Amino acid sequence: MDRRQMTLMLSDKEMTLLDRLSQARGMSKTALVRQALRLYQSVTERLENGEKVFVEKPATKEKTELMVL
Amino acid sequence: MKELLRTVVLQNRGSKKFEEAQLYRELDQKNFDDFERLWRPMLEARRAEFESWAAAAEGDAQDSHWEWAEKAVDASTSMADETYAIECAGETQGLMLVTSAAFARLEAQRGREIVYIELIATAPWNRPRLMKKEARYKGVGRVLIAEAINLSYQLEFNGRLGLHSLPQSESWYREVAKFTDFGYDDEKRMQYFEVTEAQAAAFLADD
Amino acid sequence: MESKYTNDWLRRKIADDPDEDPEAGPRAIPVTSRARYGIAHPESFAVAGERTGVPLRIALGVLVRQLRSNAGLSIAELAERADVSEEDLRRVEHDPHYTARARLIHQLSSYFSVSLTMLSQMAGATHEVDRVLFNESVRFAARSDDVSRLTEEERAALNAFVSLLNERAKV
Repeated sequence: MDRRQMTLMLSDKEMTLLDRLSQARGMSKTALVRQALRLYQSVTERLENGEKVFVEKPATKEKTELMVL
Repeated sequence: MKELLRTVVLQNRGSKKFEEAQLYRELDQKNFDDFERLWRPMLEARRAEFESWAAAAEGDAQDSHWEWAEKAVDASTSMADETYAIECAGETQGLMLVTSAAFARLEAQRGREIVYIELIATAPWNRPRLMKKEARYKGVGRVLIAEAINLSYQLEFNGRLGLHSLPQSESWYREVAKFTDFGYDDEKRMQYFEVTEAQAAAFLADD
Repeated sequence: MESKYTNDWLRRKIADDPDEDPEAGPRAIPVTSRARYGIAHPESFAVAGERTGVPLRIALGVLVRQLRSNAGLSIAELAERADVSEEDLRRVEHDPHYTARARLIHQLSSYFSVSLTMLSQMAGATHEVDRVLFNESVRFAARSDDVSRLTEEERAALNAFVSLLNERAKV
């Protein structure tokens, strides 16, 4: 697999979040960032296709639209 | 770009001998062509013999309308999707599509990242239920599931998987692989299985 | 790339596995790339057969003819641009008993940006047929006149039908 490098400048808050998430989810920071990228593409592609992304409260079935482009 | 991941083995059901097969990541025209020219006609022919949809399911001939070309093309542009093919004796023996943009439902790992297997299929000539005479190769399913676990480790999901099982495969997942039967999924109308980290490790273990 | 399993493991395990290979994923449901698990309601599908085959292929013929006409192309020109055979194209347009091959459908779907799944159903390449597709196709074909140039009205109807096909594919 080809690899390229990037230096990422993050604020204290962002770095703390990255640390916390990677700990909580049992993944290295790199793996987490890669997964975030995949998810981001997955969501934005759906939006670009005209699909809508919703969040649902299981108890009430109440739906909120997550994002609008 | 189609990439040879590794050489694996499949068992020739006739001779009982193991033959080398190639496991690829990403599909190419040959795989689409094999699906159209080799898999589909056999599935169509068999399907025409059944009187009802249910009978076709029983006889294992339903998937002739999967649009592999479309799906595979989408998978190549979407980072979250991966496609795999097993080739043996110059023909596509098995196909798999997975996604990494998926999360676990099982209470013990709820919300954790999983590799979700969207589709696993073995060529029609490998299916004993479909073939009136002896089917050709055995092992496609096991190889692909093991490779999905590989991907799960690679992504640091530690082997966690999810999949919806075909009815005739449920006992395999439950009893042979010992994955967790999460229950019938009303939306997809199939049984949903999940694999924990411990189950993935046990699946790969040597005993 | 490193593997968590070996071929020795495969040999041992496969030999002991039951006869049937495990498989996964939906079989009985037409899947499109956009709506991954477009779970259609069972009632909205019918089993394809002679009853549905001919009317759908007639509609497919009309659709292709109109799309071609709308683009201002002769059969020869379309055949060249879409990289299909003239003979096959002519048969799709005029012979309701002709089953178009997968590649032809694929090329036309691509060229005219019309849902591959829907065109495949119209061509008779699938086991199940969407009832809405069937009804709309029959209606579309019935409304069309076999003239070489489309009227404003016919063009609007053509566009509406194509939009319907592409929308329906997402369901």
